[in-house]
Amino acid sequence: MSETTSGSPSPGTPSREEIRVGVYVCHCGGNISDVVDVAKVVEEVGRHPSVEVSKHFPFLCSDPGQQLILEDIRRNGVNRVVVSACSPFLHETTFRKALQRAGLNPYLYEHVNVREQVSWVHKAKRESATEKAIRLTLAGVEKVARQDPLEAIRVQAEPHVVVIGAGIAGMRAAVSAARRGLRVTLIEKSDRTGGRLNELATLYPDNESARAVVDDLTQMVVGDGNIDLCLNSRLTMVDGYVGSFTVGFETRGPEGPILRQVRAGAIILATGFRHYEPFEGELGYGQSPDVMTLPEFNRALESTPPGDLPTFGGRRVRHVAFVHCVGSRQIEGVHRPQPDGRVNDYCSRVCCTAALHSIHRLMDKHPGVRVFDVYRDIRTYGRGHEDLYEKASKRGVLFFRHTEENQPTVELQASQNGHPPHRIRVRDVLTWNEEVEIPVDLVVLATGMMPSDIGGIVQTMKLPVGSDRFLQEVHPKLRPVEVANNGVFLAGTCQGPMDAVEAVAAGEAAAVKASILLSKGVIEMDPFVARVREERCDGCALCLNECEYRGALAMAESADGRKVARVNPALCAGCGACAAVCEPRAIEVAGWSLDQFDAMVDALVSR
Amino acid sequence: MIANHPVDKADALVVGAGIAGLQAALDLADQGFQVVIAERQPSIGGHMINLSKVFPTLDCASCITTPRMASASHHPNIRVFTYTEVEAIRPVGDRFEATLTRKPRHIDEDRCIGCKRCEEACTVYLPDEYEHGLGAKKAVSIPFTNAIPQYPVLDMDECFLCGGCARACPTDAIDYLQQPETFRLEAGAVILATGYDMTPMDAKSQYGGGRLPNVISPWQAERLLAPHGPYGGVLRPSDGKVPDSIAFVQCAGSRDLSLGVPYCSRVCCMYAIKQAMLLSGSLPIADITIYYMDIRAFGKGYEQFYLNAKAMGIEFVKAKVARITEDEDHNPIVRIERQEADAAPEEVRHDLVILSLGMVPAWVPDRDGIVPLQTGSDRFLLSPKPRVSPTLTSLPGVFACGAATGPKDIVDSIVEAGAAAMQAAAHLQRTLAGAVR
Amino acid sequence: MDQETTRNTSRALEQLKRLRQERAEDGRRKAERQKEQNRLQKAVLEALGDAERTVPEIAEAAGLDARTALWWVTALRKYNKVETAGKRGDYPTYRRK
Repeated sequence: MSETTSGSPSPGTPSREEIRVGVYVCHCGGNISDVVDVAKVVEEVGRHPSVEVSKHFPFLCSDPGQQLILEDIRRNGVNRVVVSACSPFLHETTFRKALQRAGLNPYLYEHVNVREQVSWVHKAKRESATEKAIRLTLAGVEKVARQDPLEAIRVQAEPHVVVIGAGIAGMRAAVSAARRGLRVTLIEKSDRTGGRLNELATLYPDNESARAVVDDLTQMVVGDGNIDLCLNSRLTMVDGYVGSFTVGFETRGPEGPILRQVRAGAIILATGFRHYEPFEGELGYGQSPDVMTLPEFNRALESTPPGDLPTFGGRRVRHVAFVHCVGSRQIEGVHRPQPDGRVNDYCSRVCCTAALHSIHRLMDKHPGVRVFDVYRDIRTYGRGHEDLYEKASKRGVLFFRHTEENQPTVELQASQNGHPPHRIRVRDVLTWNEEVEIPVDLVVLATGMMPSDIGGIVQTMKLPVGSDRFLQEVHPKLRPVEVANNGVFLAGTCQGPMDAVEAVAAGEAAAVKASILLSKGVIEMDPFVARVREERCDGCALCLNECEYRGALAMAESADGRKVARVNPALCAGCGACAAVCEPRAIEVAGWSLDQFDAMVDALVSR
Repeated sequence: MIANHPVDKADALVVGAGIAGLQAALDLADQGFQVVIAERQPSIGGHMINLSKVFPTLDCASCITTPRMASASHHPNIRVFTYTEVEAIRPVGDRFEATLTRKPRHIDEDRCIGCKRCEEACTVYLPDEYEHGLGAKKAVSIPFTNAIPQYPVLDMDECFLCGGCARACPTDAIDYLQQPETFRLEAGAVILATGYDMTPMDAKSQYGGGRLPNVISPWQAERLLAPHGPYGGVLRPSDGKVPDSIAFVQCAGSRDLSLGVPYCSRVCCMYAIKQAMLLSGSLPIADITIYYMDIRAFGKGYEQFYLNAKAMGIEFVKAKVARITEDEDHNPIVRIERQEADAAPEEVRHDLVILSLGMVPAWVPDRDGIVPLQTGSDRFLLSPKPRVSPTLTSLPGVFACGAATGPKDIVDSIVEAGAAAMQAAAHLQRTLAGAVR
Repeated sequence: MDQETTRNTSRALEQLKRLRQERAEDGRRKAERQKEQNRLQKAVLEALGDAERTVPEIAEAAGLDARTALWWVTALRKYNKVETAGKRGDYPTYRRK
């Protein structure tokens, strides 16, 4: 507890008569004002006795909009602010910072959501939408009028980062953080660095050696005195909070497992992906050695003896077909779902280019092969990717395009004379939707990406996961490498399909966020946590039973020797479960007190 | 003359204040580095601030951009120079000396209060570049509602010296004789976030871009959809009619060797799908068609976005567009060759056509000078080690991010900006430590 | 307005005097353009009169092509001389403000 100081009201709180609320209603372009009569909201709310000024503006989050509020605070004596605009998720902190710039306590602020909760959902009902916006804004006024100034919770930041996963994204994140002077513990479950890149010989589109990339990054890792690389290691526990996590892991060694713990200010997850595994019988997979996934094919191609035609598993191969979107862009009702009941409806981003790259490698090594490519859309989006597609056409690769309704099928041993033995049936858009039969010796399935199996870590750390099962960022543009858990960042394909260049960039972006977080030595957090008015606490300890956050609440002795509840603000999530069971209203969440709720409810129903 | 100016110092110079440059600057400044941003336009915000909504979340572009613009302009560690050209960047030891020129706004910034009275008084109407020609501005005007800073620019090439603005200005901020100011900046690292341009409208002359009034650019479509757009709604430019049938022509500037743009521009599928969805929202009974070769919805949540568009009734037609002409009412007539049917080419009449143009680099070193750097055959900047340090350039200490390193969407640009800031921070840490020793 | 401002404004007007002399030729060309702009603006406003009209109606009454009429309606709308009134068929209507 020594490193935290809890939020407490500052002296000099104005009494209710002195409270002068500034109310600002945002048009959000037309997002709000096209439905809500903002002038009417401003007029109605302006009649409230505590409201000093009431205004509307096209974009309050813009500089001129913020300036308007600043001026009213500085010149017109406004000492509480309500902004009725978008979701607080987007801009609550924007306006808090504006209050701070004007010299006002940033927590004397209430953000009312009249976009997601009003204009976007009541488009057809202008009048009642306006009325709802008025009531919500008035409730905000009542709440902020009862708000005390609060101080941010300040936590010491441990200048140490734990990176989980030593693939290229994790290594890059570790090296970048270390170069900013942070200590790094890099935990890898396997016995070597490089992750999935170890499966590849060369990388698209320029044929750079995968080994060279892994070696380069590994040398940077090993050569950096700030990085402790722990191979053969498995995460066992994560405890604590941003700035001061305790991370436990177990390292397998010759003398048996060793348990270790480190304290870290931030955690970067770089747990990577796994390949989609076709189920038995999916396009013939598992029923013939002549149907393989792209990673299996890449491995096999490494050991084919040189020659005009390759041999795979002892069989000479002349006709090879590549089928795209296996395990990606799946359609409910058509494709078999995963055990969780969901199909992979997303695009895996890299497989189109990866398949084309493998086709070129095959044709380079074995110029006699005929290649067929069965696809829905070719997504060679990146730098140099389109070239691979162009060149494939020029080299005589035959493309067959199907629609989502007409998926291709594979028939094994379909040929009478056995040469080539198998057939792909596809209704081909490029030949006017005719059903085409392609006789083939070998079928390669361009399988998609799925997140690594990290259910344990997800559970231990209570991480948010998207409907695609990848880890879910807070917002793709505002906070693209952060999860909702404070101090935890995402690097690479644990977040979604990416190629090597993109994963490495994400690793660096995650490292920069960790560096920003830890570089000041102290981390500020919102003070919306439980606090106890000890004089009212009767020591019943009911609140302890309700608290789900380990270490957040404990019984302690008060100055006058009574047993009372006490909060660790750094561990409290501010959920309010404790407040719900406290009959004497001794424990409450700062900024969300029960009298504030009472007043808001009154405001909502009294018009 | 330059020598007389004091040399300014900073840890890092960020060139370009679009979303990538702003993010890179913030990620450096938040670590305690002193940053200077140089932006050639009169406002920061780049192309993004001019967009309507952004895929795949459909957040309004302003909602995402304005807070970053405000944070950068108020950040204690960031100084922003707008309307400023970077003339040269020269390595000096392990630092850089940049020469910058502030173009004259013909406004005394110390006096201007952004009241817009000059703009009201001015009588010269000009096409507004922020509306991509669809709307009007005055010869003296503040660039757009959310512009930062809120200073007007007086265009002396267009001013006819009536004196109206000078008389209207309450703070006497008009300075007709203001001159360009050149100064030097010494910085330890440089981040280039110079962004993109779109391929020219008339690059494929058979599509009629720039010639047919109702064949418009995607930027113009963004403005039609923007909340404060020029027409206050979706209308077509030839006569102000609400369009009933709208078509998008994909790959109208990309994947075409004859245009010198053989590569995929990566964002056009998604912005077309987004615009189609927004159009369908504001014109519920309109028919909206997308002519395409491949739909490349590859990013996180993009495929689902594409599926939503299909479910909304937007028609996706696999077809090549051979040419676009118009009838006597300026209705564009699109000649298509369908991929799916064994049919002769068809001619389809629409009210409005949007050409999905591709991306080209806004700054090309061997064309535009400033600092010599290696580029790829696509003319975007090239990292010597793309899979170890994607934001490096061929000059140590100079980093690049966003569309400067290839076509890129907003999400990928923001992530790469973080990566460039990380590289620059590590570089500064190393070189500054060296200087102390 | 205080004295200093008055004095400085006259300084700005001094600047103008000089510039007008230096740019006499250019000034005449721009004055012509201004006349043309004023004419178009007036034509659009007169075409509107007290009525609510669509762009093709304004174009016909003002003797302009529809594209030019739309550009001027857009310009005058932005600078608060014209506003959108309603809709007739596929066209919005405008009126003077």
